[in-house]
Amino acid sequence: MLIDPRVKSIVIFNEGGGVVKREIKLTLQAGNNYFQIQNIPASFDPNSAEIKLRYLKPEDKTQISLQQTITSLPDRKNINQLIEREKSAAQNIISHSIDFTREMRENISDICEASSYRTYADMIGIFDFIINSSRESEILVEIIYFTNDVRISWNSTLHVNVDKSGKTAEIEGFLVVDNQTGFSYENVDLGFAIYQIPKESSLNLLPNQEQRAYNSNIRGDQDIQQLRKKTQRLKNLML
Amino acid sequence: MKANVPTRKKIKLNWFKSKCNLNIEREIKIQYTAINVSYNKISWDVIIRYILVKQGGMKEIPVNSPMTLYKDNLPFLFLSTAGTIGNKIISEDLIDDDIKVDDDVVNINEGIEKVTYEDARDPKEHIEVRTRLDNVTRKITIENKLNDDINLLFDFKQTKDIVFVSSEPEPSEIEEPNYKYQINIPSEQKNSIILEIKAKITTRVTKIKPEFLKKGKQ
Repeated sequence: MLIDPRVKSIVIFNEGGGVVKREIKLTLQAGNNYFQIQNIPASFDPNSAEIKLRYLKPEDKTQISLQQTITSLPDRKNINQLIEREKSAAQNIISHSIDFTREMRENISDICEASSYRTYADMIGIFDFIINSSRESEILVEIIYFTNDVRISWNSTLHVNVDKSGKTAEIEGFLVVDNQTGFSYENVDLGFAIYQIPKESSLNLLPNQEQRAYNSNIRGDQDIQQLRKKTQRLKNLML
Repeated sequence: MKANVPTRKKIKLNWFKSKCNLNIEREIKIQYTAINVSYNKISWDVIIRYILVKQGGMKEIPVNSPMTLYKDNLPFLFLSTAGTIGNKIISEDLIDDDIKVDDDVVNINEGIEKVTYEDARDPKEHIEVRTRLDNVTRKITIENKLNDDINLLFDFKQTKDIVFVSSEPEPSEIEEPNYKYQINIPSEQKNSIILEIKAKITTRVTKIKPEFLKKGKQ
């Protein structure tokens, strides 16, 4: 069954990406219940994908269980080819057009703009799950996943009104959320964290680089220390 | 905090509003080398940073967040945050362009040269090391071009080659190797510090050993 759980909250990282929490109440039949979640961005991290069952009745705990989750990401090479084709088609629409009326202009500009901004992260990933139930029942399901998309980020900006004495001031802090992804979040609980999702390259290359440095004995200890990962603790501002 | 985050849009949300104390820290850091200690003129930069001590709970503000200072509802300074410590919000370090620092040489008393020799790579050569201890007097003049009085920290750091001897005025605080001076300069006024330092000047020249020098025609 196709489901589109409501996005309940999103914790956005200042360096891009975040943690999305979605929630839905589901009706279960006796046996295996297969669900497909809609609107999962391809930027989601399949390893972080998690399903949490919230039982509505205490006896459900023994009778309802999560059997498995199924996650998959679309093929990056094929998707990138498709996106390139879309972009060139959008370019052609503009370059071959003779005249646009006002309404046409807006519609076409929307289509062309959407295709020019589109990236792999705007595609749809697969996140399915199977719940096993011994009887007909209802359950609340929480879906949690990381999105590794730098196009959604936040920053703060400060306005400091210095008084005439120059010794005191009034400070106003603002949060600026920049969402350049193809996904909208309606009426969600926003959380903000100071965090940077570790880059794949730095995770994969690091041990090899270190090993090479030790083996060849080319680099000094100081250089090797610089190659090591640094601790990075997530700082929550508000949740 | 509930909000709508539409696709391809930027949204701005109110976060906090509070009173704070504004502290301005100015600092001049001086450190000479055996080369520049004898320069006729050196210019140093005054580093300024703004520290906002916020009232109420602390707020973790990301590094490099834009910060605009307003006076009489007009923006007068655009800068970024460098970090937060507790309820202190610290701005990035900037060069204060309205404070001018001129460092001039007053006097150099060259010491007696001591010659020693070190082995060179070529066995026929050796390195002649000439070392002398010079007494250098320098005058550092700080000019405040602002309309307000300023307080600044003058921080002289001695090194293995440049050693502090004395100064006029005396340092306010000595934390070796740093000699610190708290200086107050009224608006559009100048203030000076005279530093007397000992500089170890070393020159090295690779020479052929005398026994390997070709004898001249007799």
